[in-house]
Amino acid sequence: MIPRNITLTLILLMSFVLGSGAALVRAGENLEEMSTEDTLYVRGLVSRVYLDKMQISVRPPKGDSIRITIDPDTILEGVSLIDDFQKEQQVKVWYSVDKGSNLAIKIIKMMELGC
Amino acid sequence: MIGLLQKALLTISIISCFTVIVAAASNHNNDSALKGIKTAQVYFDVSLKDDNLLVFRMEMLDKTIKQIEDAGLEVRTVVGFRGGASRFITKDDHYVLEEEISNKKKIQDWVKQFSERGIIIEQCSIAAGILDIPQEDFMEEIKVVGNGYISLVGYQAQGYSVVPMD
Repeated sequence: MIPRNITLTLILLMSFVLGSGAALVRAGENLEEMSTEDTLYVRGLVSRVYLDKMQISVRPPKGDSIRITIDPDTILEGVSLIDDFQKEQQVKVWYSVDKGSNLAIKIIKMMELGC
Repeated sequence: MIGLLQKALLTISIISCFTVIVAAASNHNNDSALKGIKTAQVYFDVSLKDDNLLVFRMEMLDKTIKQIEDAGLEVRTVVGFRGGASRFITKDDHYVLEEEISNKKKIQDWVKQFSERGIIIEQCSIAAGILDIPQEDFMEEIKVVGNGYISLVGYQAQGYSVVPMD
């Protein structure tokens, strides 16, 4: 027989874990491919990688490059680390402007298809 | 830095290779291959994403057509773009990196020249969709087709020889 307080703790812990996961999924799902009041969106080519500064430059199809800062909270898809970014890769970036710098919320590296 | 060095070495190797080919070609011909042929139908399948190689391929494409014509054949040519090459046949300096702009201009010049010579230039709409390039962003000379692979199949069925440029 498991004591009641342990059961309760386990249930609370599981709820927390599941809740956090769901919130994370929701945050990713809510990002549409457009800029909103809170989040800016850009799609383009990686034009430069600054490993020492944890930044990448992204050149949109029409316009100048935008420098994006990656931090530990940035969600990365298609790459595991900033080291995996390379010039000419197609990326989708959602970011917010914080104290003058563009802080990446989520970056997706697009698949390179030959078609 | 290493990437730039590799690119420079690759370019030098290509130019050297091209020079050797040109030198060799001046002393040789394709009489056996072209014996009894009056017309050549060629589909150039262009899918390269490297701007330096793409410029080189455009030069090779032009040379190939001219050499077939010089051999006395009528040439019908289609150039099909797909994959990473698609970015370089869009308007202005869009869809490329700053350092690719000068080569993009050269590729655009080739496209205009080919079009004026009656060469059909096609772009696969699936590749355009993957790269998020709307039809109106392609150069006026470009005909956007539904599926580049179907073009390959169709032109081959019509007797076109496919020359891969990947």
